[in-house]
Amino acid sequence: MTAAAPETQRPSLAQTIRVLLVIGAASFGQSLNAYFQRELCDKRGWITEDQLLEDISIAHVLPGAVGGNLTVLVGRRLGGAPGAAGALAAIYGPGAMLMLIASALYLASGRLEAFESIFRGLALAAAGIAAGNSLSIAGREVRTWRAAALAPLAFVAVAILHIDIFLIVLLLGAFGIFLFRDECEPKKRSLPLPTAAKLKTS
Amino acid sequence: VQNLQEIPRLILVFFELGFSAFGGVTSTLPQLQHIAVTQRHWITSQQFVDVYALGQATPGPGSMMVIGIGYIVAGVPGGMAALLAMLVPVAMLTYLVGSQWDRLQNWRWRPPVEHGVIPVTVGLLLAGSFTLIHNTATDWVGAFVVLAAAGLFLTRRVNPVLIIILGGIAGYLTSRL
Repeated sequence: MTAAAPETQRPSLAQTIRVLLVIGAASFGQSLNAYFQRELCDKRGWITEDQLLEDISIAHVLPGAVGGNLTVLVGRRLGGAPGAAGALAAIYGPGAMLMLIASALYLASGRLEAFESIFRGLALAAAGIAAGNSLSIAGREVRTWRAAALAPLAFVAVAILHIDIFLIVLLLGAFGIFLFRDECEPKKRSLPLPTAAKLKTS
Repeated sequence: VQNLQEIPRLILVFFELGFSAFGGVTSTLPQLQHIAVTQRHWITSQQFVDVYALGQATPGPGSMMVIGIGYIVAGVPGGMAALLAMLVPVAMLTYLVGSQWDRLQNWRWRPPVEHGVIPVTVGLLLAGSFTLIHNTATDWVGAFVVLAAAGLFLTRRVNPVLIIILGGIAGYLTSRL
């Protein structure tokens, strides 16, 4: 099975779980993508940015928690079925423990007001991290006119028009495939001669 | 009040919820609120709001609130049952789709699919951040914290965990002003 592209190297299951446990404990509100990007792509080279973005779009199209889907897809790339199961446990484990403790404290005290301002600060910082990460990805990925046409369309459709994300990925995805149709690999034949000649003269 | 007999019902509800959540669990919140508060009387609407806030303040993917609902209904087993019922069946489907996608590695249409979908995903990420900021940064202090966090993150020198902690401290301090 070739889950990972040749330029990436696969970690062991123990390494995967160790790194993802830290991400699971640290990734507050919607900053999961940013952590995957920084820890798995930039720092360790376990997956490429294109692979991560591909997984993010698949995670959006499938039903279920987007973060959970993304964790399964990334875990599978890192180590097949054990990788996916280990990744899911590592990403959800720390938060699940904390949520159980928080729920018990909440039921015992019955009030949240004291923590609301802290929660708000956490959410604001996480929103900033998510925004910073999306902007830096956009800066790297939106380099052609075709990408520059598609990304703002998707942004407006979701953020302003509030169209269903599932529909957007399907429709704009199809439009994107249409725009990039010239990259479709030719059927198993050698390159026609005129192309090779043109390349030499230019 | 722990009610272990509700666990099969919890599993059923969250199993269904997992498969009906398209574009993230947030899209199913109205449905979940209807079932948990109005229909089953598992929790009050105030508890629903509070558990949502707790879930947002917990690290990990943003669906931790289901643990809170399960916990209020049936304690620790209830919390775990709710999370696993929502997560594991969908995870299996996701895994299958991931491996099928892998088998199309040499499909001639693969490059256009990859390159066509990536800009759309970038747009989704930007829209997600925009909506998040729109909903959380409702005043000047909020906008400042978001900008400061984004700036610190983009310098690549500051650990994101530290940024989050600073955000929490800023939230606490500004509520004292």
